[in-house]
Amino acid sequence: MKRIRLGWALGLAVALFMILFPLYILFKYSIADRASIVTGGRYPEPLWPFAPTFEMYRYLVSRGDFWAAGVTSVRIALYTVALSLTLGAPAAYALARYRFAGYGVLIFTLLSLRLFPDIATVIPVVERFYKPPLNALPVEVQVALAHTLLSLPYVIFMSIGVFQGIPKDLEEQAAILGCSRLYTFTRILLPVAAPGLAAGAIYTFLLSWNEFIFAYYLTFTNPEGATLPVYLLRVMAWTPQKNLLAALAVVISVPVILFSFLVQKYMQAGLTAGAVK
Amino acid sequence: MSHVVLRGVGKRYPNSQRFAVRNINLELARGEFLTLVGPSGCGKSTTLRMIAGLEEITEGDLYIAGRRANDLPPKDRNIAMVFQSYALFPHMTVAANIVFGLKVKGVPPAERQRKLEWACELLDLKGLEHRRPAELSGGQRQRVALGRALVLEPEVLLLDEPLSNLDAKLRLRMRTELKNLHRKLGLTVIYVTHDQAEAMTLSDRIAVYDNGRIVQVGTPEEVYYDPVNRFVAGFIGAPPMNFFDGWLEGGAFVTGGVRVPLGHGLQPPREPAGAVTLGVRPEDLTPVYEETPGALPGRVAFIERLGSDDYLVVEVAGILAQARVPAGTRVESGRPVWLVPRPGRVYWFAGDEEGRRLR
Ligand SMILES: Nc1ncnc2c1ncn2[C@@H]1O[C@H](COP(=O)(O)OP(=O)(O)OP(=O)(O)O)[C@@H](O)[C@H]1O
Ligand SMILES: [Mg+2]
Repeated sequence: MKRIRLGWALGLAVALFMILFPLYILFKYSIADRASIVTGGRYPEPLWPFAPTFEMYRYLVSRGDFWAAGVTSVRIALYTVALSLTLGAPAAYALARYRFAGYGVLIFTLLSLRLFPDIATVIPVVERFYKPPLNALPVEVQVALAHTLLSLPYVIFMSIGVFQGIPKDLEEQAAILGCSRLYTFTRILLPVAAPGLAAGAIYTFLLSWNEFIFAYYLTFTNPEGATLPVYLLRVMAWTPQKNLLAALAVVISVPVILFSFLVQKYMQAGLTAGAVK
Repeated sequence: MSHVVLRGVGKRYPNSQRFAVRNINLELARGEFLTLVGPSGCGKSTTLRMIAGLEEITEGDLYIAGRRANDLPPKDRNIAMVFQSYALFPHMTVAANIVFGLKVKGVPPAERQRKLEWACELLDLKGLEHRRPAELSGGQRQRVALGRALVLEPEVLLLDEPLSNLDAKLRLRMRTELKNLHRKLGLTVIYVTHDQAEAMTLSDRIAVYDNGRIVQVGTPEEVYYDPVNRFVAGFIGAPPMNFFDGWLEGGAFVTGGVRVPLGHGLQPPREPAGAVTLGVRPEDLTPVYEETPGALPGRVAFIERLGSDDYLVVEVAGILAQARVPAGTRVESGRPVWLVPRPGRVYWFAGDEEGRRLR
């Protein structure tokens, strides 16, 4: 094995430091006792809290509105994943298998919404949701629909590659064996594509979980639809101490890691292994 | 009664100007084993896929069991197909793969189980039922693909180069197994292969394709010993037939400036001819080391050793010809040699592009 060159090693170290340092700060604050953050300039902030405590976590989980926001966030994220995949997978399949005039234009149009900053697109989108018939939907569904709008182009784009990777032979064999197109899609293509589609699911979950701007505007007048990022903003509005915010930030990250971990197990290598020689 | 009939069948792919295959006429008897051979891109797969219903037929008619099948969906044609790629469903076990077609057709579970056991017995797949395709060897995958086709009890079995990716030994074994299966089940089989030996040993008849057309259909003996043109003569047989371009004039065959008097083994065609190509297979040429009438004069170039047989490579009038010699033959190169054709095994072809056989 070749030895890693010094330059590379240095670069790697810097990158790791830049990624891990904020996480360390965040975690340190989240378990800090009061004396460790409010030093009044008499001594520097310690590298590790004087008396680490999970007090802020305990306080958070004791709050009903925190739990409500958490549950809302999870539900909206799951709705978004479900919507994006049910709409995105068949669309991606069609785009993967059929070539037609205007193919490139269509792909570009799909992605074009994401070419604008969210803060620009939020106005026309949210405006739709304020009016009938969309305003009749439960606010969670509204937010999930808005998030689907954001995730769908990417889900389709990623899934096209997944479906293109599945040999056409499988479908033709299924047709000879007597399957209808729908049956082939649900019983053969989807299961074979699932590990590949899982990447899209993770992406969508993260997008919905992190998304702030659309969720904020849609729950503006309807606070029971508030997701965790919106809740975080509300908490910030009381200008609380750093350790509470840090604890909240850590808690927000946990489900992301959990979900990615669960789905990743599903993303084993070799999705079509053994299908064709 | 003919089981599968193709009448003037042709296919033009939508994105293409020319026909990929055209004017295909074939009649298969029930239980017949027909092999399609030809160079790459000549339309063998296209023909098979039209019979399977995977490609629309552009012109002509297809009949299966007396019924016009042009517009039948694949599942109603009573066919099964084994792809070159096997196309096993990777997320299903061997057992699930094999009975998948039965399940789709609504066959009750008890019956499916019975068929599964039958197939595993027949194809020596016992004990592998719960594996996934990724955990099988190439030969095992091939047998699963065959099993999945056979449990459907198809009337017609279509096989597109099913053995092409196996190693030589496994290939030989699967070839024998296929032959036995065909006998045992009495299936009508249409088989595509690039392997001469497979075509010769398995087939009742062979259809030779050239550039989207069938140029000859016949038993293995017919296409081998009685080729209709230079293409078939050169395509069937390995190592290939030797060809000498030249012309007939005044009781001699002139090739590359060499005059070979006709006579003995070298009998001219009965029909009158000028520019001709002479064809003789390597096993029909005997080298002798003194001047002989009716023999092609040349010089030994080298010996190609294939193990069971050796081939003497001889330069005749500027081209290299091969003659089969007993294994272990030793001759120094450069030595003058005369190649004597075996009487009755000399083929003449018209010297034009088409290369029609002259009799
Ligand atoms: N989907 C397609 N669209 C356009 N042309 C095609 C298509 N499939 C095949 N062809 C063309 O049709 C001709 C016949 O192809 P086919 O696959 O039948 O050949 P083949 O005899 O099976 O060759 P091989 O031995 O390489 O498998 C080729 O010239 C090929 O380029
Ligand atoms: Mg082919």
